[in-house]
Amino acid sequence: MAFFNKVLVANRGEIACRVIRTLRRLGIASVAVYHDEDRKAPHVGLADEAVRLEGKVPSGAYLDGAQIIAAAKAIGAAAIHPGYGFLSENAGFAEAVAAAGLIFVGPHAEVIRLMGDKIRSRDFAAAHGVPVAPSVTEDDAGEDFVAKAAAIGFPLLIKASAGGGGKGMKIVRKPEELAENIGLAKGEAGRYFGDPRVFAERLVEQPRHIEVQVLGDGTGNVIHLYERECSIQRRYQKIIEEAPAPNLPAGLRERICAAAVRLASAAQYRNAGTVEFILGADGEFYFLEMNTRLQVEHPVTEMITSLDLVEVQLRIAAGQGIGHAQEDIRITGHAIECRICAEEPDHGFRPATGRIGLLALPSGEGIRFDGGIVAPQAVTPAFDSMLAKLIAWGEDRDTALARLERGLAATAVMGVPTNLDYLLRVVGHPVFRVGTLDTGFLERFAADIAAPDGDDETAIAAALAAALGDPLFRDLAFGVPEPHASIGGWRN
Amino acid sequence: MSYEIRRDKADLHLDIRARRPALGVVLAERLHRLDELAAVEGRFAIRVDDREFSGWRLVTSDRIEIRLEGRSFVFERREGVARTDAAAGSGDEVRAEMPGTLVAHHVEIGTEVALGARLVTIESMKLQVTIAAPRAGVVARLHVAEGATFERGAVLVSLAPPAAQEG
Repeated sequence: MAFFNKVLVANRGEIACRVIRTLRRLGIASVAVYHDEDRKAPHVGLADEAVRLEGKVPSGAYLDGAQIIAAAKAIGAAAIHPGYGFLSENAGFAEAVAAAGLIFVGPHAEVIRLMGDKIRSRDFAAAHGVPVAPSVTEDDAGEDFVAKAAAIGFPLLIKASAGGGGKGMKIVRKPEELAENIGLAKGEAGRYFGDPRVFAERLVEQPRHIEVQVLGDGTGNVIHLYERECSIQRRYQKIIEEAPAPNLPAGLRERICAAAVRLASAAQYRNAGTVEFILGADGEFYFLEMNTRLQVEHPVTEMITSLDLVEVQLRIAAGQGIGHAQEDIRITGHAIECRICAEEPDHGFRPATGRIGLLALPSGEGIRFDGGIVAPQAVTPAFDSMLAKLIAWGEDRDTALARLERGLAATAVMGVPTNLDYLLRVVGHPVFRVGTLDTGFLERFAADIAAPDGDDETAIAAALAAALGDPLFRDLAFGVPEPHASIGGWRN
Repeated sequence: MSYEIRRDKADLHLDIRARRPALGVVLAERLHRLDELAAVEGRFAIRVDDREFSGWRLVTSDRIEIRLEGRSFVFERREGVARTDAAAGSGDEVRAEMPGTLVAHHVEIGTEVALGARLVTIESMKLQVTIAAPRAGVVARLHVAEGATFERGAVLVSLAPPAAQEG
């Protein structure tokens, strides 16, 4: 029944720990890899065996596919689980793993390539009846570009074909402004990219980010595990995710999930994967991209479906199929995840470093903490700033929210600044509480979510507690050295 | 005597006014009664006035971090800044820093006092505090009778310059 005898986990941090935990539970020997900077990291100790990777740059070691494959072969691992990030969506690595006679716990390299290409994946989606944002390219439309763009409807987004970073991008709300803005965009595109071509796309305002978890066996057999709402983002970086999406009409949920299954099935997708959509206020949804790996936010889906996605990934990779039928998948309750990052929200979210001097983890019913940190441990700029994830489950959203708040307050990661306080303020926001979410949330309510002035009872108590932690203050307060004792204070 | 610590680039002054039966500390112009209930391996519990607080505390060489009620506070330690108020207290008027009741006079008009001598005991926030002479001098006037109440900033005692040294 065991899917493999031994699996190498080509990752670090919380996701390596999370994958290793499932391997242990399934009785599969686990192999960690690590750069010297991580030699004391939890994933190394958690695994049955560990292989040190050479690399001048720490992150480079985890991206060194040849070295990782060699390590897997040398230690006798049958498969490699890539986690997320690093090599997880590297088609060349997937091919190399297979060429080495090992199993890549992920999709076929060709599918990784297809979904990794924005234009090709979008065309593929459209060809299989998955809605994509209406658009028209100058190349296709030629002389009729302005008229065809106007036909999409307003507001419109004009983008440089070769572009990025907002250059050559214009939002057009009125038909009479279209021609002029296309001209402006072309001028900018030409100056910045040396390529004046632009295209027009329907602008979805205040969109929600809804994504569907799918499982495919590689033969076109695909099921979905419903959706996740990931609209709480900052600069396209997800911060809080939940499942199921709040206030999503049942019919719309069905259509979105069906579209995701259609896409993955058409691609003969193998592995767990995620199809991302943007959902407009008008209920129209459009394909964004497909992530061909386990996602950071997969725990919320696990919490509401009681499935272990890593176990399903391993089962599929071992050729034993998905192991579950669509009609077996039931949503129970609600789950919300917060990403705990080493950063300073009150100072422009700049990444923070330091040494974790004190770590207190939350526990209790419905609380899950996926971490890869210990105290003392240095948090360096070498890796991603995400330290851990706190996930709370409840019978309903309100219960999950209450547990999440308690869990965040019961979590202490000290010695390095984190966004814990910020997360609590977001979760406590009245609009978040009613679940009216869109990707502009954090920006729109930035003032509400800002740190409070520190002159209230809690701040006073904190200052007093800090003083009590200082030997200097204790000396003054309890040591009673003369002549200080003569100034104020009690006399007996 | 006062102790200073920094938060968000601002100095916080903590003035220890009483030690027993509980610490009396003036912070942000208010006297607080402070009881330390527990302190074990980074966890602490304190009572401030009538409210209990428990959280985590991390003390490093230059900082003290507090996590309390879902909020994080970082304080910078300021080594060696503790000082007595006597240095600053050269004034002739001893004022109340918080409203309260005058419990007892320890001096009479005309009493010659040294720096730090007990002048009066007051009670604020259920805490009795003895006010000490900010400098040497002669008690010129006692402004508040025993048992009477006063507002914050009220003058309690006036001091005249000390009598000229003989010889």
